[in-house]
Amino acid sequence: MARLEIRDVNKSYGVQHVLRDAGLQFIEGELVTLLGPSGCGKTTLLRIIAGLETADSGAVLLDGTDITPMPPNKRNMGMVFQAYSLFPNMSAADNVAFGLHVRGAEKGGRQHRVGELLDMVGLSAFAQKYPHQLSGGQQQRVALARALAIRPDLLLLDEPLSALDARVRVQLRDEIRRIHEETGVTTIFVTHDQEEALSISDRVAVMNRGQIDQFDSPHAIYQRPATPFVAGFIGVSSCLSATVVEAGMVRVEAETFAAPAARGLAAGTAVSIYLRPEDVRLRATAGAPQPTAGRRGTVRTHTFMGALTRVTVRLANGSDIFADLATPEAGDFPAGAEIAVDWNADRAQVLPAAREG
Amino acid sequence: MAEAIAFPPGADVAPPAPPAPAGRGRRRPNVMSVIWIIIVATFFLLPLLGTAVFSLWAGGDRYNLTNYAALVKTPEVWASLWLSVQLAVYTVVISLTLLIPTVLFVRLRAPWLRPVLEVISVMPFVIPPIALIQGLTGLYSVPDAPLAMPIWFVSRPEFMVIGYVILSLPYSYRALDVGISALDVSTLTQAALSLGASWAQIFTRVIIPNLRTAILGATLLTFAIVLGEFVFANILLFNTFAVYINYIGQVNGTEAAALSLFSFFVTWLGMLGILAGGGRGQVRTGGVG
Amino acid sequence: MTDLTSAGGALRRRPKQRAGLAGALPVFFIGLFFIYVLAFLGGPALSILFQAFRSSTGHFTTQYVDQLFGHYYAKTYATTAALSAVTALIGVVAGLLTAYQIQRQSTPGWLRNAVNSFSGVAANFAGIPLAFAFISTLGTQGMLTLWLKAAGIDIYGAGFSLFSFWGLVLTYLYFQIPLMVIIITPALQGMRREWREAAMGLGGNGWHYWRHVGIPILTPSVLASFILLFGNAFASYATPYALTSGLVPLVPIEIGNLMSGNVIADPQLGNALSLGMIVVMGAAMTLYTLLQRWTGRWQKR
Repeated sequence: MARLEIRDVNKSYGVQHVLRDAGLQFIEGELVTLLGPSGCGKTTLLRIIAGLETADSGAVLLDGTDITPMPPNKRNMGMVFQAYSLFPNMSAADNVAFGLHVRGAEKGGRQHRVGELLDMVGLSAFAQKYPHQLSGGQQQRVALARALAIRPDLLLLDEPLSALDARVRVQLRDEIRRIHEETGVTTIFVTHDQEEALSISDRVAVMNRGQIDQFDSPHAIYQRPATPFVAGFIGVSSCLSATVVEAGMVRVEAETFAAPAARGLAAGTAVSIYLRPEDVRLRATAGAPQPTAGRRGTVRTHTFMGALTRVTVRLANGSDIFADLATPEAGDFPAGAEIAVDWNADRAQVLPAAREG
Repeated sequence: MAEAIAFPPGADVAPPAPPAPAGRGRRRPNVMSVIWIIIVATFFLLPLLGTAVFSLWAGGDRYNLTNYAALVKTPEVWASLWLSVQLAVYTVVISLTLLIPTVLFVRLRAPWLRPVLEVISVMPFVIPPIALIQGLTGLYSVPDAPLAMPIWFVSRPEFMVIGYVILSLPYSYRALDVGISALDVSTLTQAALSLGASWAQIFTRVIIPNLRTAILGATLLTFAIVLGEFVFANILLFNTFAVYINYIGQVNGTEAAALSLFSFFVTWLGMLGILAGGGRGQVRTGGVG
Repeated sequence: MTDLTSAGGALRRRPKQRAGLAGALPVFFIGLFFIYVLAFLGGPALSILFQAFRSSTGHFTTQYVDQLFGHYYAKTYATTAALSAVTALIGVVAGLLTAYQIQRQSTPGWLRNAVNSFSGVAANFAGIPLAFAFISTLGTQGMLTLWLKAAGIDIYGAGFSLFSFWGLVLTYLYFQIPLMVIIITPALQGMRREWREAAMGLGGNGWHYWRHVGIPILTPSVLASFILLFGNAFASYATPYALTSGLVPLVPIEIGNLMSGNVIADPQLGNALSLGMIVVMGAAMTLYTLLQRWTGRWQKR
């Protein structure tokens, strides 16, 4: 177990700037996910932590010691790769034993430890199988056991689930969480799958174009995205352009709403309001007081998702807004119906307007 | 497998190399690597350089294009080259006629025969050219041969085409098999059948156009094999291109050097054709898949 | 076919005819191919087998095959095997080193492409032109020989001869090394970066990686390549023919001499020599296939 700190790491390949001043501080024993679209630098950052790549500038500190110049085989970090990282000429047991073997662990202890770990990942019966005789999920379990065998200070997982079938992926994801709780080893998990990130992590670092946009708990990331990128990348949001009129009040078109999240912003700032579909409510216009332009719309489509149905509403100003309704309730708003839109003002996130592009 | 054609890397469907990482300390080539590459490059370039210089040597201290000019004016050069080209064309035509339908129908109708084809395709390595020509003449052309063919046929250079088809089989088969593997032939055929196409239409409009690059590769390889073939022609005393180079070599070393250099560049052109064809094929199959 | 037969009733007869024709075509073409192969590959092989054991009066005899084990021909086989083994060994080592250097990250792309395409050409640049390229360079009047002489180094005076065993070795390497580069490159590309990185991450160094992972994985491919190179050299005819004119006794040259009638001899002896060669090549090919299968078991996933 160890405390890891990353300070202002920069890395470029030729003209391509992959990491810009990336900095993170980890708490001992937590499971952190580096989340972002492909090419955001998350894997590069993980490889720099592992020592497989060298940063152009910046430092990696483990328990306060600068390990930046240390070669990967001295760092005592267990790494699990996306796929195919098992040594194909060794059985599962020999793969798990490799790290202990090169450390010169005596045979008895080695065998005991290998048995313990294969048991932990539920593959005791497969100890003598070769990688090509194992399924993709089983291979990744062996890789996990191999990485943990050396009692690493850090466990690094580089998209370990992305090559697996959806069902196996969920299963192994839960298992990684369980193993993390059992061993308590500080774990860094790289993924581009937000569902994976939100479900497994203690904290998530959302990365975008080599920078860390937000580093917070899954709940905070979802409910209070810090940047327009995070708001757009995590979950589904509807976005409305608005202007701050006074503390906690914004104006969309001609109408002014309460938006507590806009409190810190100066009047006149162009902002975007992000609404989660579960926070949006629809009302029939018939019989109700005439709603203002900003809240009037037409139901366009229904997307059936089981218990919920996502209703897409085109507002009078042309922007679309999503509302997740209980499926029976969604039946009250058929496509083409004129309706009014409302939302929970406390939960609307307000951010300075997204830069173009 | 003697003196035969080997596929250059890249003509093959090899797994793509892993993406380039910027490994630590691996950016700078080390001294040993550089020295090794220089040694290898020297070994491979010196004979070419030596041949080039030798081919330009015109006695004493004079270096010019005399040898090349003399060769161009020698009718035997053209006659032997023309004979080899003719034989190559016959071989290509027979090989493709035999192989394209076979490879295709085995894939579609008798996949269980594929391992048999694989084994057959390496048999010409087991029975090398020198043994093959001995067996062929012993069976078909010597005076008391068990299955003697007419004398007017076995006394013509075209007799060798029978064996050339076998010699080139490993390469032509592999080129076509790789090409067909890259297509999903059974889906293509079913799609065409469901659209009402006849077998002839499927063959000419769907299969052949999609196999163009594989057919080009098979053709170039077969051509290269026949153009360079020496064993059969030397034993049976036919004046093909390779036999003529050997003859010239006994008489005039500098002209032989010139022809050798010419052969080298012909081989190079053939390989470039295969590589280019292979590259295009991969792009296209990428689009299909 | 179901697509066609399910068409309307009026059309039912034609599709059936077509199905019959379509059923016959594959049989026809596949049959044609097999007949060709039987007649012109299987037939000759059998012919060699029978003639090697047939006396001039038509009876069974082992006298020709026995001669293979006699002093002269045993030496011919031994020389051919030695030449093949030496060139295969050097070819494997030099080719592996070259291919490895070329696959490294530090190698510029243009060099990698140049070596790959040159290998394709050089591996096929065998036979008569290759022999003359070496004669032009390292023959008694070769350019390099003369340059070295001018520089005060007389290689022929020092005992070197292009037309000897070691001269042949040098010439064969010109196609053996590139052939090795071509056949081992896919195996090297199949070595996944993750294996080395995983070994490093687990605390291993370069030696651990090669000792426990790299060498065990490459061994079958390297052995298989050795066998392929061995067979490649064993069957070579044109290059030694043009270079040595029989000074170095080699099996393919001997067969050729017996056939082209330079020596008045029984054709059976030539057949026996061919038979011996087929046995050697057959054994090499079987070993090669088995080794390929051994390699293959790790590639399957």
